[in-house]
Amino acid sequence: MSAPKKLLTTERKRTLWEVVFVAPQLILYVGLTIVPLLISIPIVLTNRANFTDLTVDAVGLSNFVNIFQFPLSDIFFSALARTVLLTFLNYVTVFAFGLTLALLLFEGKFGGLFFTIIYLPYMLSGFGVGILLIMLFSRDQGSLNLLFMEMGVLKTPFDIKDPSITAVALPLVLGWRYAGFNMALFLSGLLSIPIETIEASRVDGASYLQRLRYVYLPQIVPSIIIATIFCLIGSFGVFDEAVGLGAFYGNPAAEFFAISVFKMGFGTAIGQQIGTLAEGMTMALVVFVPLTLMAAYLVRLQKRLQY
Amino acid sequence: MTDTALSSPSEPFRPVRGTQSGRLGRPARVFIATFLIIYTFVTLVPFYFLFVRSFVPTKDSTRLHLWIPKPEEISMDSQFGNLATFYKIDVSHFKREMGITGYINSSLTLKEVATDFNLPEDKVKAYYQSYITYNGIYSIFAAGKFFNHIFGTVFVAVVSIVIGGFLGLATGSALAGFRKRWHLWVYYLYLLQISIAPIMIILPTYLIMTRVLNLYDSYLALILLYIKGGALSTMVFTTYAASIPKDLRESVEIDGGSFPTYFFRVLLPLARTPFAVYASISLPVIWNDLLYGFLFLSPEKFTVIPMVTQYTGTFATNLQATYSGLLFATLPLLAVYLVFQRLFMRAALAGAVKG
Repeated sequence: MSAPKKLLTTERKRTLWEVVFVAPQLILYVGLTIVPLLISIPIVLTNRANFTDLTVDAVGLSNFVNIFQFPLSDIFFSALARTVLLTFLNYVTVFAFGLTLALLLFEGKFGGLFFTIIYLPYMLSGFGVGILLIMLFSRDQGSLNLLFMEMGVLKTPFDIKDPSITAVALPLVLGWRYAGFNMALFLSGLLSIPIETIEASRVDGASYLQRLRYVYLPQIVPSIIIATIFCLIGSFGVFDEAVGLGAFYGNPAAEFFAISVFKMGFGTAIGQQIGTLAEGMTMALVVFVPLTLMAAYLVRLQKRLQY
Repeated sequence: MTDTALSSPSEPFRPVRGTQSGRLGRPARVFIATFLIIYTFVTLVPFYFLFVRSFVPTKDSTRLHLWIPKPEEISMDSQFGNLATFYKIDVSHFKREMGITGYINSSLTLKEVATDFNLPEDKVKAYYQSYITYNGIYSIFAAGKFFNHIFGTVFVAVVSIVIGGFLGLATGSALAGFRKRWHLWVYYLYLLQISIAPIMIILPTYLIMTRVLNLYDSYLALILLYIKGGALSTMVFTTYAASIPKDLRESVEIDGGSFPTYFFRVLLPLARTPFAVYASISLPVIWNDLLYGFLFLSPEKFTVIPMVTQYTGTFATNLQATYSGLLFATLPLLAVYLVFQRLFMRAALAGAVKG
């Protein structure tokens, strides 16, 4: 009878140690990721104006009504529309840059140097992307504007302050920045395809497009899902790039959703307070909770596909 | 079997080269190579312009420069005060260099300054000339604070990565194998992190940091946010811990060793590869972060990217300083990247992908 008893205690001991090892990071994680999510729920039911507001009253669900009504609805919808368009175009670049490059590197069996250079822009900060856009496409001093004018390709220079130019140029430069990142996602999917599978399709005389459709694509679905999640969450959270583009200095083209949320919380600090803190949290929840659920579903889907 | 995320450590780390079979024709390969060469060239163009523009004076920025321009000669008729404002020149530094103790009227021209204070004109000219040529770089280094910001960022990054890696390994060591239901629950809780945008929870996080933890203007605030764990670190370390052969663990147990013995004697010493993966993916994120540094630190303590934002402004007059600031904020990370490029490549191919 002593043997199982001893086993039991070792097992219990081990569980105890596991809890001890998991606890430090889990406390931080829950405290700084899950708790913020939970405490914003009571706050969105109040009229809390800012972080130091001491006179807080319950207002029920009126914040949820407010964000859809003038004047907040103007900010909310235009920022949202801009962000949705950005997300869509970013998603196009995920494949245009990332998948194309991954396929080229894979088929050409190229590695090292190409990879290093393509991945290089990822080292540039998001804020740097914003600055770079101004440096390249500002109407008077954009280097690419000046270059294209000199070459005679361009008659009137691009103006990055023009919302329609930003709408195209930002996803393009973001695509450039994340090209290596997305390429690596797809490449690792491609590299995990068994060589025999590819060989077999060759022997069967499948054309390249057929191979792409029936061999590669099914195998890189997990990579595509991960890239989708990153693109979705990243694009909706675009903040640093917008700050670089001068979102706080009166560039309306850079008013993305994250900027609006930020201004509702910290606007006083930069002299551009809009709405209340509680309304800002409401806005963040209304947009991001569905996104989070969608992404969480995708994570689950990806897990299931892999095993 | 849910522990296959990165399970065999050797598999995701295959180099790209020579792993695929295939007989791509020579013309096709040449075509692909040409395309890639053009793409990589285009990829470097923005960096090249950033470099050149760091040397282009702001007032000359409306002209196309494909290389560092020849510096224009400083006119001795320029007004002392105007120069100081425009080029952000520290007047007290000028006085120290020239050995002047008195007050300098800002409406004086450089020529008048030289005669009034008995200075050789050449010396005054040389001092200002260097400001004009390397204005952007001077502006960011002149205040003498640039290195403080760099060191602050290095400190935050190194501490966060070391502690974050250690905590991540501790998490992974316990969860490995998912022997219990709660292991899986904790794992999924961490996975949830990739679907939570920082901006979604930034307002309540700020509330907790400043009102509950009282951590305003402390590097600790940033470190806590960087080491709190997430999908990537949990995935990398859990898979690593699961890949350790059972025999190793059993032999520790037979010798009477407990779980901590196993952790410190076996898991920790062998954790170099997962740690490198974790570090190389976390470093650019931490180094380039704007939001947390901006919110939780005062301008004197800013990490590099929030610091560079200070060179831009409502009427960003000194473009050259902005570009130089960005260039010098990026260079340290670029250097690390180029030195450890193979590691970054392996990490990118292994990291979040297989989760």
